[in-house]
Amino acid sequence: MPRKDQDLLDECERVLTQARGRTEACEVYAVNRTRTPVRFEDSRLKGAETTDHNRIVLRVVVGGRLGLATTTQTGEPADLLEKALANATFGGPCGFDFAPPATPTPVDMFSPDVPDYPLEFLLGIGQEIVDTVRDYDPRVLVSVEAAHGTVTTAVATSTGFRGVQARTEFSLSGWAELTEGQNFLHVGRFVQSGRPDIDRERFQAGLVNSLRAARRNVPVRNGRYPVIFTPYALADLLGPVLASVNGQAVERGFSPWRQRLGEAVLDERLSIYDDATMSFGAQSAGFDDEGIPTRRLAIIDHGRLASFLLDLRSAAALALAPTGTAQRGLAGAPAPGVSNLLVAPGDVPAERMLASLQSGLVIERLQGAWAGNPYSGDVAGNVDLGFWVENGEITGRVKDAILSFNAFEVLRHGVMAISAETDRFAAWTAPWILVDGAAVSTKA
Amino acid sequence: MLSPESLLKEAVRRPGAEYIEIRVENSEITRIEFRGPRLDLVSQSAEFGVAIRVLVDGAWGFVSSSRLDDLEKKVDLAIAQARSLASRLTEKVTLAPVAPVRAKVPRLPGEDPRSVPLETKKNLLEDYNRQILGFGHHVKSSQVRYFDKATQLWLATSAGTYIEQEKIDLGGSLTAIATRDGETQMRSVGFGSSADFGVVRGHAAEVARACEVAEALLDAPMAEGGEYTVILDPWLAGVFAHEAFGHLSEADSVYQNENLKEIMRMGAVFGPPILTIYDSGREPGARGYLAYDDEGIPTGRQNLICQGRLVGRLHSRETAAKMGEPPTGNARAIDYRFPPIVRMRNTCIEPGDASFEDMIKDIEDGFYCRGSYGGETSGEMFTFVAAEAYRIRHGELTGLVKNATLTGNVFATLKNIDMIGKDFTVFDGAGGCGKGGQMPLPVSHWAPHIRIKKAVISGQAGGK
Repeated sequence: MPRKDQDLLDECERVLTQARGRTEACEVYAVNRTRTPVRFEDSRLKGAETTDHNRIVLRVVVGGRLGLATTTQTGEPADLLEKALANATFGGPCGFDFAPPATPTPVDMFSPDVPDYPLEFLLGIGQEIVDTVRDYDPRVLVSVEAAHGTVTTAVATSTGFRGVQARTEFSLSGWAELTEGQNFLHVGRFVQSGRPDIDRERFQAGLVNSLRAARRNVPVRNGRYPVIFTPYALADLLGPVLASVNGQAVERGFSPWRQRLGEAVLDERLSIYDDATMSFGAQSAGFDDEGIPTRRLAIIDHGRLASFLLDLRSAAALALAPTGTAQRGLAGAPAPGVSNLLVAPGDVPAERMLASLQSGLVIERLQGAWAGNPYSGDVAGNVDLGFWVENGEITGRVKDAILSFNAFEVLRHGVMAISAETDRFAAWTAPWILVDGAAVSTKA
Repeated sequence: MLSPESLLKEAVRRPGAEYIEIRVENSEITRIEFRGPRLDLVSQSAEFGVAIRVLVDGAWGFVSSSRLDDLEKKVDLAIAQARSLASRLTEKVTLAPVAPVRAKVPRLPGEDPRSVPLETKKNLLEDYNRQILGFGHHVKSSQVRYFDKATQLWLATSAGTYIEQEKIDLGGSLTAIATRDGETQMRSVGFGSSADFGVVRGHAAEVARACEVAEALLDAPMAEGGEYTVILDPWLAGVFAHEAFGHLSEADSVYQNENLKEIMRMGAVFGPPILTIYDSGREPGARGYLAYDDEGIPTGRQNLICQGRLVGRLHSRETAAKMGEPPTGNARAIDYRFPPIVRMRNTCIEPGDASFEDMIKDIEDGFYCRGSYGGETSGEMFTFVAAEAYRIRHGELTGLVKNATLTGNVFATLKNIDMIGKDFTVFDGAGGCGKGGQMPLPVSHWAPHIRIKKAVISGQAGGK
């Protein structure tokens, strides 16, 4: 086992040993993240960074109550324990058990050459993106971050789980900005992976093609139109779905799907997976942040609600098995979340999908669509980057228009086609989806 | 912990860089959260780390770590990284000159959250939570969140600045959640301070009102989309100032963009003569309060729009040098994990002379929007969602509507502000601003009521 992995597991073990005698149950989670990004801002190389951060989270159960404390400092378990114990005296009832012994799911997620890539490698990738976009139009300002890193996590529980895992990370974000008078255009791409397998040509072409499609603004009239959601805008379309399968929303009764496990909720051509077991995915893991082995989890299987996303607490509350999808943020408390999200492709070539549109829209980014109540399915967003299609061809950019739709309705009854091709956005892989039933309103 | 003063002063003298800046942060964070009847989280976090930023041959190097050991090696790593960029640089970063500062800044006077026992905090929040859950009707759930953060911050630079600061940041939200037939509506009460735990107390009346609004929203019709005269309450007016104009004032969005420089030229008209917007770090208690920014620059009040004309913008030392303007103390990092970037502090709209009566009396058909669930901006486009909104007909408030989203073009909307209230309101919430992956940064926005003509409300399509 590499030194860092062993150190992290040892640290967990030390904290656990201290906590054991004074608690009914305890769990230690430790993470180390190292990251090296280089940054280009407005087409200019600006700087390089190295970050190396630790975090240790201790959860204890005393008198059936849960207490939590976190620290960024290794080697000071006594202070951490005292805080967790103090918190447990006021804490809420625990209601679940920490992870039992288990073998982590075998997943390819560490690419040993990644941590050793020289800065020059990242600089070359960044420069290439800047140059390609500026070759298209030198007025465009291009900001790029190219980064690699390693995330090592360890979990140890008094109920017998021990695990440590390391994954490598590689990410590329590109942001192209063109302002002409008071007309602002921003085009972005962002891809995360476990290794530098990102198709750079496709990434660059994506930026340039979107810039080209937005070269002129075209008017749009109020009405209902078919809309192609690109993989980059899928979070806007799927937001209500992901909110409604989250175990916390199900447990608390907010999710409209809380009683519908196994039932058809979306179009039967739609399948959505959360797959932490994917080889070299950006969020791949053999066990989740609570020590539950991961699996390829079907959330929506041919339109059927196949599983919720659960952590230990929501699983216990719903009397279901945990799904290996617990994640932790800075506060240290786990919550259910998606890792590598996959939306299954369909059978229509993306080009034919576009060609089939008499008149309609292509959406790359909505603004403000996250706001409002996701459990109603109602989504309304300002078209931040979208294109008008006439007779199968993009004619220009649509601005000052609001797109509104009900996500549950359009994904159940309005899916017209799903593309055979997919693209990556952050840790997601998804096709283009053509839906009917979205309304456009403009002020004119 | 022991002061790292001598360690830092030594390390900023490493050879090979034009500029070295080291920031050490030691923070304690307490979080308490109720979700429904359940106390979901009681946690304490100890956050410690160091941020090293160097400028070498016009390129930035940055190293951040949770450990202070081998500090000089870390500085050398930052220098080596920056140096390796030299051959690809097309333009060198320079910094606006500043006078060195030596200062010790104690925490602001007020009730220190660290002096309040955890049990007292929990009980106080539990009372609010019980109040929400005891409201009855369709208010069936709640979310009560609280945090406080106490920070010791040390900053040393190779230019001779050495500053120690003790900071407090705290905030919370008390949310009533009403549910009926699969529909969920909510309304929150927020509070926040950079000084005083006392702001957590005394919200029972507002909580009662939040419960009533959440309940009433279940029966409210959707807002009809269209173009209207709209009155924004002080909270939403502040969000508007922050989202719609504040971000455009951040010089890092302008300083390398020739076209935008032309649009954002000093003296350009952005609004009516009644409009004055400023950003300030000098209001004790505001969550945007800041004695010195993370480059060690003393903060002040920076006017952005004065009587409708652009008069200033927000700078770091880098953007200030490039634009030939003085630094404004707006370089901020959310914590030791990040380098400072240009950010707002407390962004305010100066009061005018209109009363609410004046504003509403001649509106035939419009909206009164209160509170916000947050907003978003990208250049000239902005969107934010009102927490509650009322239709105005014939000069009077009529019924509550839901899903009123205010959206539009920044430049057009600013120019359409036609009345500004005299009721400048000091109020802080628990949220924060996000930019460049750094979120949430404590900011404030204080404002009076404002009225905007031809504002775009997006709600149900097919309205006016």
